[in-house]
Amino acid sequence: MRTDNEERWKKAIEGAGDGVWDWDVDTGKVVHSRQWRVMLGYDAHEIGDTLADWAALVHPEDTEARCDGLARLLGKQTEVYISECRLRCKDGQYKWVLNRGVIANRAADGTPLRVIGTFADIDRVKTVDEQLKSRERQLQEILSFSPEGVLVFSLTNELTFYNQRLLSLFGIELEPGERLSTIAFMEKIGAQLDLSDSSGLFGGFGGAEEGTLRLARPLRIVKWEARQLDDPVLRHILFFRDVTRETEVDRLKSEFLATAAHELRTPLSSIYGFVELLLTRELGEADRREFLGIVYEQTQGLIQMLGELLDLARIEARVGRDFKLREQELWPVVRRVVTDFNIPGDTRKIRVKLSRRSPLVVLDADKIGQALLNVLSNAHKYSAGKGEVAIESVQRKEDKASWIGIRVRDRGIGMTEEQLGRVFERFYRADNSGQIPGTGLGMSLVKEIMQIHGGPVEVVSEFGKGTDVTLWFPEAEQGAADE
Amino acid sequence: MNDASASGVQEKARPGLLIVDDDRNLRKLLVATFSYGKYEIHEACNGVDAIRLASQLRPSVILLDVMLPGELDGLEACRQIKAQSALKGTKVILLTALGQQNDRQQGELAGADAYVVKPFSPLRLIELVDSLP
Repeated sequence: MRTDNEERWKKAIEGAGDGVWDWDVDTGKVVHSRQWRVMLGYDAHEIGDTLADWAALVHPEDTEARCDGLARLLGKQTEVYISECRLRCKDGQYKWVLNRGVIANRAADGTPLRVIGTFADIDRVKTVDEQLKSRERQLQEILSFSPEGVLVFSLTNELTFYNQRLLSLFGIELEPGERLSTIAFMEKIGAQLDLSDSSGLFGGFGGAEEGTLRLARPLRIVKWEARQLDDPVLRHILFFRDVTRETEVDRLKSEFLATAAHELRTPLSSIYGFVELLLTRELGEADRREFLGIVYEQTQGLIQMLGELLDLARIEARVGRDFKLREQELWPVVRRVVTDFNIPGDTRKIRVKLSRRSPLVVLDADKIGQALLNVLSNAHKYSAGKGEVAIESVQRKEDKASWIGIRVRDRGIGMTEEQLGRVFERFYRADNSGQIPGTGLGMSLVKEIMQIHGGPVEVVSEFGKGTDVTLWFPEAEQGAADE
Repeated sequence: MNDASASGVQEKARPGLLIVDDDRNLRKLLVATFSYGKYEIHEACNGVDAIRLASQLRPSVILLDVMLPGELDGLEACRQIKAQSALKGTKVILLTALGQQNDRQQGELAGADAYVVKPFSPLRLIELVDSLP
């Protein structure tokens, strides 16, 4: 008999731990096996025997997929029904189940009359799967924020993993959904590689552990490190780090040290040499005095250079945090510097021409005094015996901003275009003959000080004719002091 | 002693010593160092003048600063001086404020007979000049 047969294989299925259901499509009645209810923790009377009762247990997010599956079955689009969904257990928790059904009986026109199926608990598998997926998403997320580009190749040189940073580091743009392949990656990198100077990427596959890549467009220096694993999928792991800035800072630092050492050697040569002669030679009084004068002068120069170097270092390290910026009138600061200004042996008077209204500027009076003093000394040193040195006020309006300038003008030796281009370079001196004393740091200091004040230094010069240096200040808004 | 030897050799032509440095104080120091009577001293403050004076005076020693202003630096001046057969007997000592290994090699390549890093001891420099064959 049919019923006996059915009972037998139902038992077999239930013995394996799965539930069995039997749906009469016309009446909507569903007969569930005991295992079906046990799985969800219900007693026999607790669940009704219609399809609607069953549907009420389905997780809201899974309802649509389940209805689609049933519709396809009833619409004769498919012979089997498969759906994964979460069902509500008696304790209120949801459990993942796998439902599979087949049409057992059809009407003459093919319309399904009876559907029977099995029902398996896949909660553990599903949960582990979900955990894995979310774990992978988290890892991806973490790696996408990594400052290093990560690239993983398999044993057969297939690209098995990369992160977002890798793409941005090499400027690789992918279509949505496109995945990077080994060949595409090599092509994109190859196009940017400066082959003249690279310790090679491919060394990573040959066992080398690190190297440097130079990318030509835009110029970038990328350090890579490689690790090899005993895993066929994760065979070569490469990390890429953009070290362009560090490299540049290192280069500037050693260049600066070399220049500083060079600049110290010159005055030290005079000091050391003349002192040795003074100690070992019988010298006339005139020679003795002259040599001591040179030693004194050169020592003074060294002291000044040291002071300026420390000032520069302090400004750079503290970026103006120790500046005492205060809104105040600018002209008193200028007048004080002019009054105190004195170069021994230079009797020229500075011609001062300032606007009647003294503008309000946010500034540190001592630092601006120092900057102006440097500019004024330069104007005098490079125009000895050649016309007057003048200070005048200038003004410039730009949209809403108003700029106040202090212009120092001399009629001295001026600068060539090349000299003008290097005027803010540390230790750069237009005159190297030793006739005009100086450290080559004064204008660097002026620029740094003005930068903290938010204003540029403008230098206009004509060789043989003289130089104009203008310190520009953003004018404080009227009434801003009331705030 | 200096006076005696100075007057002693004054009769004959004294060997020439050409000092080339753009720094006024350094030139003064070198002149003072070597003005004890043995040498006839000449000065130049750039590479072009150095070569002109060298060909003209054929000094026995040239003290040549490496960092010279203008298109002709000390290394190039040294090369050109060493290339002149008329100046075969002239010894060139490079004076430099650059003391890196690489700079020293450059000096050797330019054909310099000695390489002195600033700051230097004037007395040692005299010894060095005297010791050159």
